[in-house]
Amino acid sequence: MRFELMVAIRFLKESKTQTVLIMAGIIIGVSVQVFLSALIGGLQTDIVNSTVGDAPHITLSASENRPFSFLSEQKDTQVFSSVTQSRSRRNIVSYNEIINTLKNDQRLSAVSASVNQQAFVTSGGVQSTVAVRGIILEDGDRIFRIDQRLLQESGSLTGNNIYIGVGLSENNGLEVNSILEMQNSQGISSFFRVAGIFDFENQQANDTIVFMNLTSAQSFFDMFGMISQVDMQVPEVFDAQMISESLSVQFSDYEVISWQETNQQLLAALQSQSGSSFIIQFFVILAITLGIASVLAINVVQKSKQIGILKAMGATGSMASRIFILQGVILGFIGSLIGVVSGYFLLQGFIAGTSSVTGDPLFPIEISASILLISIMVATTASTIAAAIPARKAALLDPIEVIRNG
Amino acid sequence: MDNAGTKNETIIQVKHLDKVFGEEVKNQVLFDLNFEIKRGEFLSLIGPSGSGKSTLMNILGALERSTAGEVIVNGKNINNLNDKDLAEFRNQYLGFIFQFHYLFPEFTALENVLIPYYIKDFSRKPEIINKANKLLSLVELEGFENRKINKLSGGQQQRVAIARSFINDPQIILADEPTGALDTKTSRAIMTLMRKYNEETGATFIIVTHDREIASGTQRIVELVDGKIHKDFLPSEIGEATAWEELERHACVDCDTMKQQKQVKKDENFGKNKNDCKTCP
Repeated sequence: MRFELMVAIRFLKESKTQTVLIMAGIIIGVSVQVFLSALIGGLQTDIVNSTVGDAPHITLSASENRPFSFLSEQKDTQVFSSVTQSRSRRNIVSYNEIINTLKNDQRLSAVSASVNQQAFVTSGGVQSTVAVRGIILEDGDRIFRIDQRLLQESGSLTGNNIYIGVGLSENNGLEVNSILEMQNSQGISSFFRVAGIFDFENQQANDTIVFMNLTSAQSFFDMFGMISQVDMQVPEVFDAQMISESLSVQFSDYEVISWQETNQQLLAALQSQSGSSFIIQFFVILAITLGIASVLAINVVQKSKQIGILKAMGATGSMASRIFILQGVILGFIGSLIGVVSGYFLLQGFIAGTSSVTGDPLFPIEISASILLISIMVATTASTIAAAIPARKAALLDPIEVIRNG
Repeated sequence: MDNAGTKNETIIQVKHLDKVFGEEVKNQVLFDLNFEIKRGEFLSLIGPSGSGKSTLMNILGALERSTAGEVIVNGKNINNLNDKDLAEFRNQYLGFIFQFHYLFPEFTALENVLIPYYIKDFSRKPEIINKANKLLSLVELEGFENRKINKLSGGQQQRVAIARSFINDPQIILADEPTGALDTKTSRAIMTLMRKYNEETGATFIIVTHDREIASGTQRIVELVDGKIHKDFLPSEIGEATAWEELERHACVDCDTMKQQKQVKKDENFGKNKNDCKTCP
């Protein structure tokens, strides 16, 4: 231990009230900071999860304005496509190759081919539109987690089996095993059996989405050998943009869009929330810094006699300034350490207080060790900087002033 | 104790020393001072308020720089040292005793004694702790080592300050009104202590005082008046009676201004000691 450290500790101990008050300030500030950042972090994760958790993060579809015949080099499909060009311009032919390439891409956690088309359901003389998604259940499940959302089920998604949402089922009086007639855009009708009813906790999805086997959808919509788009998920949702950009280059003939591009508003909202949280945290830290600076500035005045005598007895200016820098470091480090711990307990209290009967918190709250560590580092650094002004004052203090004036 | 050099060798040499305060309104307090102090001398510096004795003391203590002239201590011209070297010089060569002891209330008596040593070396070796303990017993404070400063009497505090000034074996000890805040009996004891240390170690003492009795107990008396050396005599040479006469006159000159200054400083002890102030005949 250095002599300066010993003096710094003694000075802090001697002015107990000041030390306790400023320490309390740091503890409150840091715990608020930890609480706030965990709360907002958790809230954002929750919002992002509910928005894109069970939805594709990246979609790949055919470019809209490209003539269909350019999309494929396979002669036989070109012949086919030239017949149905106007209708299938936005469809992907030869999708197996794309699906295989994407399924081998390590950056993607789920890849699912899908046919997306509109169909009409007539019930009690009222016609309503539904959004049909033709998928291979095994692949689609990994993105939409349908199996976890099925309320009732009586068979897999094969043949003419379909899964409908609770809204659609209630509106049309449909139950499991009911038969539903749907019409495609060409006016051709087909009959399907309701094999499952799901709840996506989203009214629009529950009212309109109908899941169907991929092959059945291709046949129903006259899209043999074609799909509408490829849905993909990535392990870290915020990486989607970057991966999407790289896929755009890889599949330059197609349109690759990330969830961020389709949810600009949400992102802007999240960003402004992060921004305001950051501003609050910044001002908390600023308040702590100013508090420490003012307490230590008073301390320099109070201890000017001691500093002067230390200097008279041979202490250098840098030694005197180190005494105050160390006081800042001690205050900041111990204060933020206690602050982080009390912030942690504050969060636990909040989780316990807002939990539902089942014990699940209102939304997930993230408490990561790195956030706690960063809080300690930021507060300690801020206190050290705060101590710099009084430390400089101590360094410049002329011992003769003290001795001359008593 | 490692007070290098032999007795009667010059330890402090002051040549044409001037000190001027202020930039625009100049106030010269020391005028062309020339004198020498020999190693091992036990000297008192007297003079009325405003005579410049404290300023001279601060310059000799390397706390203040002279405006002109040379101050050579131990063969080293301290005017040429930078702030860092000056700090080191003070730590190594000088011991300070102040009127208001200036001890650290945050530390115990023993720790206070050790501070000048800790400034240069914080190894906390047992040898140095032993030495500090010995110094405390030298100033008759055995058993008070671990007391906080504010749990000691004024006299005890000044003894701690004296022990502190000895810890680095300084060659020169500067004492500014060391007994100013103490009663006569305690003052005498403090003086005896310093004199004993002077005789045993050969350390040079420069004592600023307004107390005739204190001054009369020193080997050499230098009186400053208006920034110039007014008298410089050895009581042993001019005889005790003459010395007292000289001092009597000094005390008279000093009285009113001293009183004023003390009141300004709110020194409650002033006036309790009969030697504090003596009206002029």
